[in-house]
Amino acid sequence: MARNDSTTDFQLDGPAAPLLEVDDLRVHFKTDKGVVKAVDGVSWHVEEGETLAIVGESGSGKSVSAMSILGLVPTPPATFPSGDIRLRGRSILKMPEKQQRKLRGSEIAMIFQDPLTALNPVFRVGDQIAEMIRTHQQVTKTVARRKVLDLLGEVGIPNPAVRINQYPHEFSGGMRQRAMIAMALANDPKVLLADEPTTALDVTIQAQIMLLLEKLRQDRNTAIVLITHDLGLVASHADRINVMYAGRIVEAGSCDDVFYRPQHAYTFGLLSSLARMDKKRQTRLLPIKGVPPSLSRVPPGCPFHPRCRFATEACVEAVPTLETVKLVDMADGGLHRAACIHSDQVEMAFQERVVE
Amino acid sequence: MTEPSSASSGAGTALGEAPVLEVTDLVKHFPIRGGLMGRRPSGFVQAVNGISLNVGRGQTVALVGESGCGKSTTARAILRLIEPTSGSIRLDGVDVMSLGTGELRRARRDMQIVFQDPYASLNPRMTIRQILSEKYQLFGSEVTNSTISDLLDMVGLAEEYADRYPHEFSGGQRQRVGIARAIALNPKFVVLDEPVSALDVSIQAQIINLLEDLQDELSLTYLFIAHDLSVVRHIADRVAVMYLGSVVEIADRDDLFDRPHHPYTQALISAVPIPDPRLERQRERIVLRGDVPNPANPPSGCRFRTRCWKFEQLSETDARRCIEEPPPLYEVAGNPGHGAACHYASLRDVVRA
Repeated sequence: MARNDSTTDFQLDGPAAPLLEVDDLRVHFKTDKGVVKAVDGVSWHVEEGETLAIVGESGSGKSVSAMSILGLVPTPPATFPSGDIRLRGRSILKMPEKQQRKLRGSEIAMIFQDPLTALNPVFRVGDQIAEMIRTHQQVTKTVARRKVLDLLGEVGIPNPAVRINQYPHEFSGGMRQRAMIAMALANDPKVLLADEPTTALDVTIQAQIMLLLEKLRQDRNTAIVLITHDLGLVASHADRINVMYAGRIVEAGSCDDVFYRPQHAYTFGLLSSLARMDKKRQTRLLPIKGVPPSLSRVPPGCPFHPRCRFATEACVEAVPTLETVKLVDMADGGLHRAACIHSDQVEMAFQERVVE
Repeated sequence: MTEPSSASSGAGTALGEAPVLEVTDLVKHFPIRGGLMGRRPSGFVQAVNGISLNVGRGQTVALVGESGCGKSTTARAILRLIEPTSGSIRLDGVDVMSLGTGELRRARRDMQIVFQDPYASLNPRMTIRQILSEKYQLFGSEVTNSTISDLLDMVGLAEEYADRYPHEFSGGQRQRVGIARAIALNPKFVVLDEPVSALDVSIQAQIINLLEDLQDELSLTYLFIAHDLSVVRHIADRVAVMYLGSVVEIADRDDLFDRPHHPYTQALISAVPIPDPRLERQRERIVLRGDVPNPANPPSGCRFRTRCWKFEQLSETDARRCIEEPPPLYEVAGNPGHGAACHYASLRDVVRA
């Protein structure tokens, strides 16, 4: 289906439907302590061959928004008060479960932070990947097995003929992550959701895995949604960035714009609190005071205001909307957006800190 | 690796003052016992293999490396939380290895540890006041009304938190309690075992600043265990890089990051992404092949050679040296405080290029 729709790319009279689009998505959970608004009005899109980073701390809603794309958020307790998720213009949320299942793993695939829990410990790695292939493609076991061997080789697992018959516990952490990537790629997905794909790994293994993802993006033109808290990883791999805080996107823009001209006080806070390996003796780190809010009790107005160094009374009164940043000397005018009424001061403070 | 050269032993101290902590040739091998009646070990996991390390007063020495390199085992062996196989440990002149059980317990007053996981290291059934008071009672010190509130104030917690339980705190606050417990008796030496790794980015900076402030106020000496090199560059005075149980490079902070000489250090630094997109685009990443070998059966000669990018480029005769001869910590030319355990060590800029 989606393949046929891709002809819309060639229509010149109107904008083509984005590859994957999340539109005003709200995911709420009903709990004893009230409604937890894990995702509260989030919109973004990603195109082929592009890497979109979703950055945020634990509890910012970044993982839940990705899980709901795959229909992995159980309802109840979750409700979807508003919003839609569209793959090439077709709504995933409104699709019957049977059709959703067809998309899952074929058009959209996901790799998780912890491969040990994502792989089934009692089945051979090769069989798990083959199952993934045979669920979506009408092929014989022999063909599927040959494809698994190819995939294992492609993701850089040495000795695939031996590895295919092993169980997950016989793999090292990096190898397990590779096996999971092989599984995610089994049906040549258009979109790969990578939820903290390297957080559990050592930094030299992280470099291997990110190199692999980068190569796949180039070879297969896969869109990658990189969900992470690691700003270094984002700086080296993302084309565009969404910064999330308390279930909302607070800043969105190109990688360079967000890193060099942050417009939201939270982004400023994140960048200023980081220890940097390339800086000689740093000035004192500038931490963000306090802790992230509980999603069942998000502060009124701007959710960041209790921790914000720029906050004024106006910040408490109304929730700031995501506005397009208008800067005189901006290269790609209009793609940079921030939900902060003090973005001028934020930018000024940031430039001062850089000069320091 | 049994030969600590002058590079590792002499340079940790400032201005000729004796170091607070002197570790020489520390070894910890864990026996592997197999089988149903397995009494006799079938082999040894060589977790720590001859580490020598000095930490000067008021200094922070960082021990970095990947999981399984032995950095936490080294720290725990230094405190004798696990019994070292051999080696010597001197804390302010006291020979820690020769202390009996009772003496060791008394000596613990001077050597403390902050753990990575603030969730697991606090007793959930005790209030913060009980957790902190216990410390004083164990060592026979007086707890007055103001003791606990002063201590909490020092780590940035309000006094009214004293009667709460650990589950009522956030991760960052719990880590503050862990730090308060460690500094309560004014120790000479504190091991910080990945103290910020489990925390959110915005909270990490709070804890790092707190640790720096406490060091200034109480002139504490830190051994900082970490895998996050960005934090290490910020907090450490001196850095030792470990691989498979040995120190492969040791140097003052800026020397290590700006002038790394060991191929592993170079790969490690180059693998860390820097939050600066333009800089990232111009950096070349050294990507190592494969995983860390099994420490029960390490490679002969240089333990890093199976993953070494430089080894691959060597001629057969040059490479034979890496296979046959374990490299000692060579002094890097012109810098007695900088050692690198590589037969073919040479400078490569990996932060900016």
